[in-house]
Amino acid sequence: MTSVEDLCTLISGQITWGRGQSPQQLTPDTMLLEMGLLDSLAIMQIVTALNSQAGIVLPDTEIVAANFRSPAALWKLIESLPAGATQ
Amino acid sequence: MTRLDALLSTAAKLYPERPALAAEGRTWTYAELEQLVEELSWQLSAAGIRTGDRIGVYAGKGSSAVMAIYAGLRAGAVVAPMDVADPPARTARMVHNAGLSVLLTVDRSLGACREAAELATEGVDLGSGELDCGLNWVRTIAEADRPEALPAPTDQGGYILFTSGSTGWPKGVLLSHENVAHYALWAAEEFGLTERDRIGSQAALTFDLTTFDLYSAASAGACAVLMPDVLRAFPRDVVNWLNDNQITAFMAVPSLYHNMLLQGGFAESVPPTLRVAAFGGEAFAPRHLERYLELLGDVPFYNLYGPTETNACTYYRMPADWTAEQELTIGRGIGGVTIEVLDEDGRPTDGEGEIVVGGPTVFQGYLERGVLRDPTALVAFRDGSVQRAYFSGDIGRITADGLVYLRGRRDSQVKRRGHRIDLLDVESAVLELPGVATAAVVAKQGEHSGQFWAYVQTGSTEAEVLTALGAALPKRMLPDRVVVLPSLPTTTSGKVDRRALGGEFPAAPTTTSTEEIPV
Repeated sequence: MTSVEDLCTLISGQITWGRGQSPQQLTPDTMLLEMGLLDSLAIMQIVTALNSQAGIVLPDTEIVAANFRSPAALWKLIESLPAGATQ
Repeated sequence: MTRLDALLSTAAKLYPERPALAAEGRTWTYAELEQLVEELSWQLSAAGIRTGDRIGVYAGKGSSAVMAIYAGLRAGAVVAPMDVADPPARTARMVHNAGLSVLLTVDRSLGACREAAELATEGVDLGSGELDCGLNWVRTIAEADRPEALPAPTDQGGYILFTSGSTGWPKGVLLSHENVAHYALWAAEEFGLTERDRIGSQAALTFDLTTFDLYSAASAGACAVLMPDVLRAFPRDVVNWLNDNQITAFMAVPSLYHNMLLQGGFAESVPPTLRVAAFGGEAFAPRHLERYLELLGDVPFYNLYGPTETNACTYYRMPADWTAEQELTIGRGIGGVTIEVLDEDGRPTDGEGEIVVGGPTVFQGYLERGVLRDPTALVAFRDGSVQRAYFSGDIGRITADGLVYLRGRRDSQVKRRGHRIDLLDVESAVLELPGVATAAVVAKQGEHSGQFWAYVQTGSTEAEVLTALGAALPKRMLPDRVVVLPSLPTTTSGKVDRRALGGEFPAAPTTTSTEEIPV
């Protein structure tokens, strides 16, 4: 996980695309919540995938809407985490 | 008969300067809300909406949606809150099933609304226009083709809440003003609501929980505080929101309570203003419930039960010293509502049977393909009365003093090698395992039909769960598969989505967690 584009790919893989809904290309500014792309399961799957695929541990206190509104917002959080948070 | 929109006009007379609605960072007093709703209802009449017409409110949770619902009711319409996250084809199906003549929508959902309307009218533009409060109307049935009026009392307006039918296609549950108001007035009185209360409204307006938020609030002059839709999936945001908004009364599904406890930090920030809370809609994990009772202390915590077809129809105020080892009752019928348990021959029984509900909250029937179908039947209750009653499909028993114990769904029982197994028994055993946050045990459809699987939110592995279960259950009751998930999927009403779990879920195995565990 070295860039916001990598993060977009990871998020895209966790979205359950609805029937008749074609998987869209996520950009850093895609409004994930406003567009209704993330449900509670997808959010927890992203948290899990960040840990298992990139060794990034999000503290519970950071799993809030403000950090998941777009890939860019989540990337900003990841970059701000103290070095010890990644393994 | 109490009209829902009359609750608003009465509150505007009694409490004109009290806050009625708080949303999007601002507040409307009862006098302001009443004036906006009255003006909007005239605009609806001018747009061709007549008494008895059925209309949809296609808008996310917000002040505009609430105003549209009230204005529709004031105009004499039967109002159906709708979900903007539904695909347009599903919305179009709902328009057909419920016979909705017009959709009201907010500016930001207008595009999707037009798309659904076009599907419903097969491309014919039947007209549209702008209204106050950021609203628009889009006609979906030509005035000349208006469906036949519904039978009384819903010829004078009412409410439609959609539930997923057994086919997965939405059925419209038709409720009269009185069906909803009876429950709303009862709840306001039981919870002792006053004009000083601030009701935290977290659920979608399509969900029956919110009739309390809006109409119990109006009947007491209390304020309905709307939580933005985007916060619902973030338990920590919900806990902060309850605190920031000084919520005094709150109703939610157990899934949300579970997550507020496990991920939301509820234990460290119990809202100090909270003075009454309630849950309903699905089972509460006993250990979490016990923890809430400790945390809430003197704050009354209510268990409410009721299918959408009857509103909440039983209630139980949890004793503060209840512990997870005790059986949990759904309580007794709310004022004026009678609960009965019938055996397979349709006679009242002291043993297990189907829970049936009679009284003023029982709905009018289902709207399917624009036609009303009333599934209720006359039932002889043990008190000697004969009442129109709804068969809930839930299995339970009733004690001599009227307390009802829920056993499960009629369809939660499966047969395996001649043994009848209640999936809720298996689920209870899973929930009791150490380290299990929450779980659902469901019968699988399709490819794995005949099997039942346990979906578990836990830090343990599938093998560990299965080994632990093996020590707790007879072999015939062990699930065919255990799937560990980071969180269980939920429906738009926030309950665990058992239909999704029973289907092809998970659609594509993404981790090793879906590997088959041999039993």
